[in-house]
Amino acid sequence: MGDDPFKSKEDRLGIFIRKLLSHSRLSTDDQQAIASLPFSLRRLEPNEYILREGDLAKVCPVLLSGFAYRQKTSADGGRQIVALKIPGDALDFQSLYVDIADHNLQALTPVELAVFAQKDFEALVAPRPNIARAIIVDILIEGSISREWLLNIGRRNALGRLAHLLCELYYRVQQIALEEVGAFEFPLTQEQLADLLGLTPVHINRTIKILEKEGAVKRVSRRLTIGDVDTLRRIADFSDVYLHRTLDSLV
Amino acid sequence: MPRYYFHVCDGTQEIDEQGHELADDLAARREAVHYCCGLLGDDPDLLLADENLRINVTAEDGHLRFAIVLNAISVDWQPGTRAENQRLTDTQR
Repeated sequence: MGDDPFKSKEDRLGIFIRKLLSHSRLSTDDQQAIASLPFSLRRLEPNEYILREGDLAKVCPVLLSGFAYRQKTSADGGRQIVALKIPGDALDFQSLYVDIADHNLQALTPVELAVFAQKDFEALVAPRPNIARAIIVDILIEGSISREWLLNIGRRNALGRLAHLLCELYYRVQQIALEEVGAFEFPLTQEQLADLLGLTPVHINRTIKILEKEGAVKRVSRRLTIGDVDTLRRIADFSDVYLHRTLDSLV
Repeated sequence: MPRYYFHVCDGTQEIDEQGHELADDLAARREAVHYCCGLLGDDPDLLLADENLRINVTAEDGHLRFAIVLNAISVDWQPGTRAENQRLTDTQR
């Protein structure tokens, strides 16, 4: 996805602009303004920190390839993964509006980031209300996803809970990909799924086995892929309204 | 780290073939208790259907290291009539 060394820097931002266009209208001029912002490329290994709780953010990183997660930790060391970010996602729009990072942000897989200076982003947004609106919409959709996760963890049983998460991830990745991602491999280990869904790893393993038996997922060694998305959707009782996947158009 | 296997027995047997690496026996016991709570929180019928739920934790050598055994006792039980008892004995034969 972002690994082609012959891609120009502007081309690399294509996935980010596609992400914004999936929920907001931006003129060609707005899109060009984003594409011509200066940024540096940064590569990180799994679990490397992008942002730490308490940090004062000066940059605005965007995920070009790979997956990242937000996590918070309780005093006794329990870790809760509170958000998953996929290629194309901006990782810290929040810090454009509030100063201090309230959570940790880490690479889940090897990632490639486009790192913008916050002040460049602020200067970009000031005269361009459509981009400012797109940023707010992006933040609101993350809030909507958080609410769905709260319902998921608080009220769905393990089977529905896991199925719902996998369904969401599949639809989010499919939305941003240019081709069919049927064989998309879920990037989370059983331990990470446990920390995200509030279950034990043993329970996650049992639940994967049930989904596998139903044909909803396939497992090759430790890698998990989609089996039948309709079955997964039925088990999860999934509706994508909360993802607000409304637009795919230009003005 | 040693690998532990968590098998669920509630009338049928669910054998854990993958297992999980945990620091020691104590960590495996705690995991078993959390697992049991998770299963019952999800589906109380797992215990109620057969009035029995058991989680057997084995080590890599296949030997039992720990087990959780839960029983639910129904107050509906009462001694049957002589004829009913005879019928039960006959069907068990």
